[in-house]
Amino acid sequence: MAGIMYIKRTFGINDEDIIVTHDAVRPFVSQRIIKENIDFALSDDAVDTVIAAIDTIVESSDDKNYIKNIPNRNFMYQGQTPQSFNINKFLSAYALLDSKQLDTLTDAAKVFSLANLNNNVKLVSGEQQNFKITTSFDLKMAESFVSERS
Amino acid sequence: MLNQVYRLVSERKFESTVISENIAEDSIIVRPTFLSICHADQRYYTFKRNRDILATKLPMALIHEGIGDIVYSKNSEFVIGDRVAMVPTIATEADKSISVNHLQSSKFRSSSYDGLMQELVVTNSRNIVKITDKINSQVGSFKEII
Repeated sequence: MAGIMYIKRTFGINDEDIIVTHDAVRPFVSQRIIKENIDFALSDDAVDTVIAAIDTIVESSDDKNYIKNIPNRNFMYQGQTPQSFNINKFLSAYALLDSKQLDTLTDAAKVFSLANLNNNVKLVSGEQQNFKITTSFDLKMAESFVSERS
Repeated sequence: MLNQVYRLVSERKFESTVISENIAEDSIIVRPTFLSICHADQRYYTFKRNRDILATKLPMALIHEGIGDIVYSKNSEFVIGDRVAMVPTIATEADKSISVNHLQSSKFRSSSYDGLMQELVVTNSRNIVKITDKINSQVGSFKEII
């Protein structure tokens, strides 16, 4: 939100303005993903970059010891970034949330989803290589992934 | 800078590779927009070349004819947004009597060096030519005599 407030103060926000947000820990994002984010953020309200779930997603019981549910993998995706959205529509959706919902926020697309505006969030295909580097395992993967030009 | 390069790795199969590009003081970065496919590219793609030769060349990004838009430049003659054609011959040395395209040391895109199937092409002012507004991009992407 600090970023949006900065834009508002410094440049002002028009109804057609969009914002593309990205995790700095995903350096392998492609031009194609960025372009599709921009295109769909202009035509839809919001965009989430996702890849189809490779492993089966399992939902646990509240105590995290047992399976509660195994959702149909055909409809399961893993969220990546960028996440992009129309700024004013994002602010309106954000204003609809109560303090409890705000506490559970993990990303921008969830603002639209919690405000019951799911249908307005367009899914854009991410890429497996657009992975997040947060553990030492990820870092090793990333290092082995990058080559020099011979 | 990290760049995605789409290389031919085997018969009719491309793979996306991340390359760490060295950006020099005179580097100009071009986003390819219109590319044309040469018969030589088709021979690589369909594996019609001698297997021993293919083994020495692949993996390699194909395409040596194409145009693009400048997305990064510190050169005052070439500015961001300029539409340029990319020269496939890459000189690695200067010679007084032999021109670049006859030098043994020169590289050629999609033959001895990665071609233009890349998200961004790192080049310099010696290897790009501005295109006038009179030429549309579809026609401009053809570099060789048709």
